[in-house]
Formats: sequence, C-alpha cells, structure tokens
Amino acid sequence: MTAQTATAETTGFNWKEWVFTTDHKRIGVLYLIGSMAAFVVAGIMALLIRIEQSTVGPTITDDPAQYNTWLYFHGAAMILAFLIPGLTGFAANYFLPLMIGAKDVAFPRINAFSIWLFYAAIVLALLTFVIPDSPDVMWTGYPPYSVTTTGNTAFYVFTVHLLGFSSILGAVNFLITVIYMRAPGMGWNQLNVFVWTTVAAFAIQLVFIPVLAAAVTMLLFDKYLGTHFFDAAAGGDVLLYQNLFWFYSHPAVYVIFLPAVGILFEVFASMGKNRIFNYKACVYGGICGICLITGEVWVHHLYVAGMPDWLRIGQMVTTLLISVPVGLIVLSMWGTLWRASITYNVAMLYAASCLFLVLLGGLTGIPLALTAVTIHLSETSFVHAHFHFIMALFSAFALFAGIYYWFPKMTGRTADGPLAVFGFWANTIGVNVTFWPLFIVGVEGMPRRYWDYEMFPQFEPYHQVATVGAMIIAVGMTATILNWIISAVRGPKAGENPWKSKSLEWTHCPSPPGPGNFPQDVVLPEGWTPYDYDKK
Amino acid sequence: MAQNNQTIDLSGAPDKLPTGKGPWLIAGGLLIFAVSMYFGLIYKVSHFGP
Repeated sequence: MTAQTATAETTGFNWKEWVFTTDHKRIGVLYLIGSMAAFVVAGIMALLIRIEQSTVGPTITDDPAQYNTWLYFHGAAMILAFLIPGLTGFAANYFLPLMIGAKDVAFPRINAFSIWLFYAAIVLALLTFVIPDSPDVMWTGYPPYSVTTTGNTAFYVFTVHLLGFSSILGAVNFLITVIYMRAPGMGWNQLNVFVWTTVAAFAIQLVFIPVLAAAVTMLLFDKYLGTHFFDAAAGGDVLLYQNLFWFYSHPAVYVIFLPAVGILFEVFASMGKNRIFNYKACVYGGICGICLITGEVWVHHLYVAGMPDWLRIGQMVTTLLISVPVGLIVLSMWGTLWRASITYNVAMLYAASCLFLVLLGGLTGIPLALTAVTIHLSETSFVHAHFHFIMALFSAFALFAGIYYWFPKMTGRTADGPLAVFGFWANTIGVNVTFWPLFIVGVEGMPRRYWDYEMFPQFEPYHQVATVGAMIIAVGMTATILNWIISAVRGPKAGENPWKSKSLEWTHCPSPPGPGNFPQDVVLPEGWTPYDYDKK
Repeated sequence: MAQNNQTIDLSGAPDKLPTGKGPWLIAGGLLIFAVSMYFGLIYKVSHFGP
C-alpha cells in the first residue's frame, strides 16, 4: 500500500471541504461544534430555569408554558444533542479509527450522512424558539399531556427520529469498523478501553433506539392521526409509552456513561503512566456486563406508576445488580491510579473530579433503586440532583477531560493555561453549589419540574444558593469555551506526543493527523498494548 | 485518490472500505434488525388489547 501523507495543512478555509467531507476527523469536529452549540443553548435554558426558581412566585416569567419550553429544550438538547453526540459522535469519530490504526471508518459516506442528519435535528430543535407553538413535553414526551397539549409534539418526534437514525447508522458503521479495520495483529484484548466502551455504547444504541423511535411514532399517530395507542379511555395503555420510553432511555444512560468511562481510562493511563488495572475484568465483566443487564432495569423509573410487586421487586434486584459491573469498572479506574506517577494537568483534574462525581451519583442512586424508599423520593429534586451527578456532570466532565487530553492531537497546541484551570475550579465549585441544595429540598419533598413552589416557601433560600451555583457554572463554562477557542488559534505548540502516551493515536500519527491518518502502515510489535508502560 | 499534503479527500475514498462481503452482510443484517424492531413493535402494539 502506498504510504499516505498525514498532515492537516490546508490552504485556508474552504467550506465545501467541510460540508462534503468524508474524513472521520472532520466529521468528529463537526459533531463537537454541533454538540457544544446545543450545550450552550441548553445551558442558557438551565440558567433561566434556575433564575425562575430563585424566588417564590414569578421571577422572570409568569407563563408556566414558557418555563416548560425551557425544560423541554434543556433536557432534550443536553441528552440527545450534547452528551450522546459529544461522546459517541465527536470522540468516537475522531479517535476510534486512530486508536485501532484505521485510515477511516468502514463506510465514510454513511458517516457523512449521519452528521448531516444530526445537524438537521439540531436545526429542528432550535426552531423551537421560532415557531408559535413550541414543544413543551420535556425530553420524555409522556402522554396524555403530549397528545393533548397545544404545543408542537411533532417537532419533538421528528427530532428524536433524526437523531435516532443518525445514531443507528453510526452504530453500524463503527461496529463494522472495529471488527474489520483494526491494524494487522491487533487483537480484541489489545483494544483501548475507549474502543470497547464505544463499541458497547453503539451496540446498546442499535438494540434500543428502534424501541424509542416506535414509541414516539405511535405518539405522533395518537396526536395527529387519531389513533389510540396510549389513550386508556379508548382501549389503549398510557403506561405502555412510559415503559417503551424507559426501555430505551435507561440504556441511554449507559450510552453516555460508557464512552465517558472510556475517556477516563485513557486519561488515567496516560497521565499516570500505568497499565489498566484488571483490564479483562473491566472489559468482560464491567463493560459487557452492563450491556447484558442494561435492558433489565428500566422499571425503576416507574416504581410509583402502578405495576405488580413481582415486577417491581425483580427490577429492584436487577437495578442493584448493575452496580456490580459498574463497581468493576470503578475498581479498575482506582487500580490504574494506584502508585501511578500522575501528571496533574487540566485533563487529569477533570478526570479525577469524575471519581468524586460517580461516587456521589452512584451512592445517591442506591436509595432510588429501593422500591420502599423511592416512593418518598420519586419525582422530587433528589432524583433531579442524583441524575445530574451520575450522568450529566460525570459525563460532561469526562468529555471535557477528553477535550483537554486530545486537544494537542486535534490542534497541535495545548490548552492548559490559567484560564483552563480557572474554568475547571469554577465548574467544579458551581456544580456542587447548584446540586447539593437540591438533594436537601428533594428529601424534604420539593417536586421536580414545577414552575413555582408557593406551597413550599421554606425552600426559597436553597433555590437561591442553587441559582448562584448555576451562575458560577456559567462563568466557568464561558472561560472554558473561550480558552478552547483562544488555545486552538494561538496556544503553545504541543509536540507530537506531549503526554508520552503509548496509545496509537499518539505514537503513530502526527498532531493534527491529516487525511489517511498514518504516514506509514501501522505495524505492531508482538505483545503490543496501548498501555505498555513499565510496571512499577 | 486525491490525498496529499494540501488537499482534503472528498471522494469517499473507496480503497478505505473493507473488502469482501462480510462487512456488507453484517451491516445489512444490523440495519434489517433495527428496522424490524421498529415496525415489528408498532405492529405488535397495534394488536394489543381485548
């Protein structure tokens, strides 16, 4: 095979090269830009929500429907347009082919189609702010409200369809890529943990997305075509939608969690110069274990919805059981850091803070898994705070760790300046100031999603503290995003492998890599692993 | 193939594709699985009830 050149020098910006690109790295960058745009708008919605909640009674809006629109966009955009595309779109697209020694993904044109489906969904979601009858169905779209509301539920449904179709095409593409396009001699036990977690996330997407797509399609039929899938009065079953929705949406938590975990392993191994502790237990017990159990835990979202006890108890057991594979993964993370020579740069700071976030989120999940306790906590701010720690904050911080870790690979420059450190500390302090008070008011009965809480005026100080926390996060994120933009343009040059990593994306291709990725065909020495650091 | 220091590949890069029928068969099978789940579920739910 001809040695292909691999530098990213171009003669200026050409938009056609981006619109028509089939290069996995450019597609990854497009995912990053799109998902960060969704993050910014959804973050502004979060700020509006928190400001509205800072006083009893109307604060910045006296229209509950307006508040519902903010909630809708915040939830739907953060999960479907930021976390999932950021982790499985950006990180997988850019780095998975580099990690396995491939020149691109298996089906580059389908990959290009996927990114434009994603952008179509982003545009559709943003039209929420333009159309007169904005969707107001949260990210869940529960009937009967979503069927009877005057809000435009069709926008919600079509956004889910577009993102789902994009994810399914991505899943097929990446599974084939890992199966068929690994460098010669690269066995399954030599894959980066990030590759394993991404494969697992895509496998979950492939199995469960069709269920969500079917559920929202039936919702669409009920609202606009007069069917009665979820209309109990006409022989339908309103709870069926909730079951179908969570049959996808709990596994979706792991679609976000797993690639986030994969990023953390890459950062821990490279910054600690250690092998992955208990690699096989982590991969086959932890990652594959989650894939096996993830479809058996959705009922814990519906404990108070009404169902037979045998089902509730059974799913309580499976919900608790999934903490075993998660525990194996967390154990491997800590083991990887054991006696490591850790470099504490910004990537490592974000990654280390994830250990705290996953611990807090995991521990607060245990009472929610227990049927007797959940009755008191269900639909309160306790749940709201829990899932922000375990899913939203953990995964977002892991993604930020990944961005700082791979920044030199993408741009040839580092982003570890004082602004980055300031952003990290502001974000860390901000998320704790925001969500700890919500645990407290949640335990005392503060309902989730309410526009106002005049029946609980005693909670006002807690909400005010949380609002201050949200503003600290806004400052931290502004500093973080500004730092990325400034560093990409004029950050200090990083060199080819600034972290002295052993992973292929650092050792075998330049920073930034050009078309074809690798200047020479990748030849792996016998016994090679991406974590080939000297044993301590 | 249009790849060099100064240009970005716009061609779809056919020589990057895996060779043989295997990848296409697996990809096709996975897509058929997903589409069958989607339509099968709607069909099944439409036949629920007394």
